Amino acid sequence: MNIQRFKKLIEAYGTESERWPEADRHAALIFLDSNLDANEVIREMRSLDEALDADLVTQPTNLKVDILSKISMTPNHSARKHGDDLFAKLWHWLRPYVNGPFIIWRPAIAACFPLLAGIYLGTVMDIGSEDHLLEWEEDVYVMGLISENEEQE
Amino acid sequence: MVQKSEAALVKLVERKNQAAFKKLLDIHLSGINRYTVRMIGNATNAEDITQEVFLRLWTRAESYKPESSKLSTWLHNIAHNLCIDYFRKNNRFVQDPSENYQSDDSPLVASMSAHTNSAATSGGAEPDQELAKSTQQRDVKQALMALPERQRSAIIMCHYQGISNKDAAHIMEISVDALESLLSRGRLKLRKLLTEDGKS
Repeated sequence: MNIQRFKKLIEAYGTESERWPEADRHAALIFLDSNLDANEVIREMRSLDEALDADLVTQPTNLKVDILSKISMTPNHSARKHGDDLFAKLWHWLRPYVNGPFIIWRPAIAACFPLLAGIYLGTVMDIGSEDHLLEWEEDVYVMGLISENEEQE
Repeated sequence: MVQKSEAALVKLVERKNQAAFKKLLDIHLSGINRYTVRMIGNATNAEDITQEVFLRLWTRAESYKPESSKLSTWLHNIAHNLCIDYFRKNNRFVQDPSENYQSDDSPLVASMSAHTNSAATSGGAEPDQELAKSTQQRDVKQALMALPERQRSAIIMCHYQGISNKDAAHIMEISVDALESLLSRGRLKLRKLLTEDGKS
């Protein structure tokens, strides 16, 4: 340690030894004990540390409560790890956790989905149409004739 | 020891254990909030950033690696990055250190000198001392806010938050030498802002 390094140390970290880097602290304290110039550096710089220490910050009272209420509204990410990803995504799409009014159209669309799916399937697969019933009756009739012939033989 | 128990609490937070989260909140909330308030200079916006820091602890606890840093350092890292993002979004990110510099005859220095003189002549009466104290607090806040963000962050971390030089350098993604340079320049500027001739 020399006066240049000591001065650099004080200019960067201030006059309180607990704020000095661990690697320099011991050497700097020994140097301070034995060097008058080092003491002069400390005396010159001390008022800035005192001014900085005068600045206090008060803790807002509701901050902890606000954070705890926010985390209770966040999605459970651990569920994703356990294979519930799709369900969780769907649920949070239906009930978003963002602040704001409840979005009604999302659950409404979800409720209509089975109805729309039924109409679509009914149209594409022709389920319940008259032709389909006739075809089915013909099949039964033909199968009946075949089994009757087999019995006669 | 503390680091190990905090790592265990973070593991519980990963599994969404609210009691563990509350414990970590009790330990770190005031420290992180002091950092954000001093960085942002506006209590409301600072609270939003503090909330975001702890929401990230809740939602991304698995990304904390206890073997590479202390939890306090990890949380300060998040807070620092959020503050820098805030300044970028609000076009307040100062790159040039000379931009925010106030000259020695600024009102800040004038008020500092005025309250010092008034306190000296009043014979130390209590109301005057209170006034002088609150004026000094205000001046320090203003002087800190007049620094470029990186110098301010370095000073807040090393002076107020008790973060080691290596951890502060790691958070700011710079070398320890670069951190010392930021600290020296920042403190020199504060001395000039808070005293008439920079030699208090």
